[in-house]
Parts: sequence; C-alpha cells; structure tokens
Amino acid sequence: MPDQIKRLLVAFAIFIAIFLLARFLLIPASFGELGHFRADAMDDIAAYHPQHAGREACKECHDDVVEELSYGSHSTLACEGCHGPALKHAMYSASADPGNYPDSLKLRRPVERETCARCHDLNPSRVKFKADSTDISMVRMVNVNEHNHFIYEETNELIRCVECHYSHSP
Amino acid sequence: MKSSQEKSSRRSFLKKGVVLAGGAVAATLIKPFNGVVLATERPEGDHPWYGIGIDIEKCIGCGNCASSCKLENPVPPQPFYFRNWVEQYTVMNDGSVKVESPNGGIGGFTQTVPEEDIFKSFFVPKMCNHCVKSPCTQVCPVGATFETPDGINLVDKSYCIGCGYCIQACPYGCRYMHPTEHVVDKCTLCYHRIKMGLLPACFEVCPTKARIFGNLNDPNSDLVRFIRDHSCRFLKPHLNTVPKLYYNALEEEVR
Repeated sequence: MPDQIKRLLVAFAIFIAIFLLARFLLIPASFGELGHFRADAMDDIAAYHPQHAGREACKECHDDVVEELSYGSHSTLACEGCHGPALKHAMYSASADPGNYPDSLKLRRPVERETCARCHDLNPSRVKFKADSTDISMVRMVNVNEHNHFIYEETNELIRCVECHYSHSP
Repeated sequence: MKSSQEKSSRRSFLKKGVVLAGGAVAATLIKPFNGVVLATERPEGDHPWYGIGIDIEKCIGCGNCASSCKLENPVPPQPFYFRNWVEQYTVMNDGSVKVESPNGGIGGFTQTVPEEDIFKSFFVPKMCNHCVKSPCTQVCPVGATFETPDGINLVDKSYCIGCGYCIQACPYGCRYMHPTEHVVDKCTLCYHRIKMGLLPACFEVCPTKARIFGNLNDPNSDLVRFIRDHSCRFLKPHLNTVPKLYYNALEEEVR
C-alpha cells in the first residue's frame, strides 16, 4: 500500500474518532429514544410543582363550605377560581398547626364588585344566558355599575355584592 | 430566422407546460390527495391520547382560564405573554368584526360596542391546539419541541436555542419568546398536573364547564362524548394541521 494512502487512512481514522467523540459528548442521554427529541424532557416538565389543589383538597378542612357550594347555582364553580391557587395553603394545613397561618399562605377573599362582574355584569356577548331566566343553569346578569346604589358612608364606595348575596349559595 | 426560433421555443414551452399540467392531474386521479383532515388516525398503543373540547356556547368570558394558567405556570405577568387567552368577537350589523382581548381576558370583559350595532357577539377561548401534524415541531432545527406519545406538544427548555422559528410556524399564535429565559414557551396542557391525575388548571377553574379535557383513545371519555354529541369544528382546518382542540359552535368569523 502506498505511503500516501496509509497517511490518509490514519487521518481519516482520527477524524472519525473525533467526530464520534464529539457526537457522544454533545448529544444528550435520552435523545432519540422516542423521536427526534430528548425523552427526559418529559420528566423535567412533569416534575414541575402544581399550584391548584382542586375542590377535593378544599373539602378536607372546609367541608361545610364545599357542601353549601355543591347545592346552589354556584355548584359548578371551582373554589380556586375566586380564591386563587391553594395547593401550598392546603399542604401547609395538612402538615402544621392550622391555627397559626403565615399571611403569605392565606387565600384571597374577593369581595369587590369586579369579581362578581367577571361573570354577572351585563354583556351582550353573554346574552345567550338571559338575565331574567329562571333556569339556574344560566348565568344571571345585572348592570354592576347601576345595580343597587347604596354606598358605604365611611368610604363613599358602592356597597359590595356580598352584603346581600351569599356567594357560596346565591 | 431569430423570430422563428422564438416561435418554436414558445411552442415547445407551451407543449411542456401542457404535458406537465396534464400529468399532475392524471397523477391525482391515480393517487388522490388523502391527507388526514380529522384527528382520527391515532398512534399505535393503548396509552391515552389527550385532546381538548371547548363549548363556545357555554363560555361566559370570565377569564378564569387565562388567569389560572398564569398562576399555575411560570408565565410572565405582562399582558402580552399568554399560554391561553379569551377573545371577545363582536360582529356588527354592517358585517365588520371586532376582536378584543384586554389582558387576555384576565379580569373579565366589557362590551364597548353599543347594543344596537351588534349583530352577534361571543367569546372564544384560545390555547395550543396540540396538533397531530404540528407545524411548530416540524420546523424546530434542534429537536427541542416535540409531541409526546400521549399527544401533547411540549418544549424542551434546556435544549431550545431560542431561534423563534416555531413561533412563526404556529398558525394559532400559541407560542411566545420568554422574556427572561430567552427560550420558547407554550401551553403544556399542564403536563405536570395530568401526570399526577389532576385536570389542567384552566379546565379545573372553568365555572360553566365550557372546557372538556379527555382521552381521544377512550370511546367513553367525556371528550369523545362531547365530540359525538356536538357538531365540532377546528380552527383553520384548511392548513391540515389536524388540531386536537375541538370547538362546538365555532363561527365562521373566528380566525
């Protein structure tokens, strides 16, 4: 075999070795197991911690409120839709002294008119749910800015919806 | 001499053109276009294959889905980064269409058009369609976005190079560039919650149950029943992306 070919073969062998080493180092462990992607990425994404606990978790402590909620026209509402994500709140009460809550874990108690208005303000886009309907599966609507003009004397603000309507069982 | 050459080349050009066009028509007769337009061609295996149903007739535009998504997932708070959002469509009496989505619907909607000008008006919740033939995963140059065996399109954030091709490729506008991580972010259908057996956050908080989550591989699932009982449609079916997001009462005006 001529010398030039031998040298070329050696050079090729080195190039191929470098290529294979680089390939081995650069391609992540699980790449290509299920397709042209890193299969471990699924586990990474699945390891993310949830924030919403779900109504069953609320029931553990607030069974009376959940019971109340499940009969009225708000029966399909999720607790966390109004009160915010509650998993940390629920996990704290499962682990430690529930009477001694840190403020950061307390859930919000939305009492402003805006909260109710998100579903119940008069809006023609919602008109398929007739305002005067007696069917409780439909969302009733009022003009939130005109409905009931009583104001709080101290703050001069419109009174809250929850003064007359009990939001857990309206 | 020159003009006769021109003539003959034009003649041959036209001939070739006719042959090519005729051949293409003949080829379609032999093997007609049979692209999958409905998500009926399921992957093999007995694992779940997740899909989404949205009943526009039930959506009241409260924006709980959009806000819960931001609370559940690390989505930036600014009002132009969304994994899901709600749009308010208003069709006027003169036929023009107005689409509004203030802060993605978080905090609710107000109708600014006077009622006498409105022909019809409705809410359309939008999110990733988790397409079967997703253009976004096809264009990724590094394999950082992919479809899981259970039919969810995800982004591998540690592998994404942030080129943004997929953002351009998605015909539904469901992806965005994360402003601090500089990688692409999108709806994961709350993959972490599904794996724990929980509902995705937006399905959890929907007050009218306008959102239906389910397994397309299970003929008894809520979603399959929903698709069977309603005349469901997709967004942009002509693009042949084969979405797994089924809308009931989707109007022609919705884009």
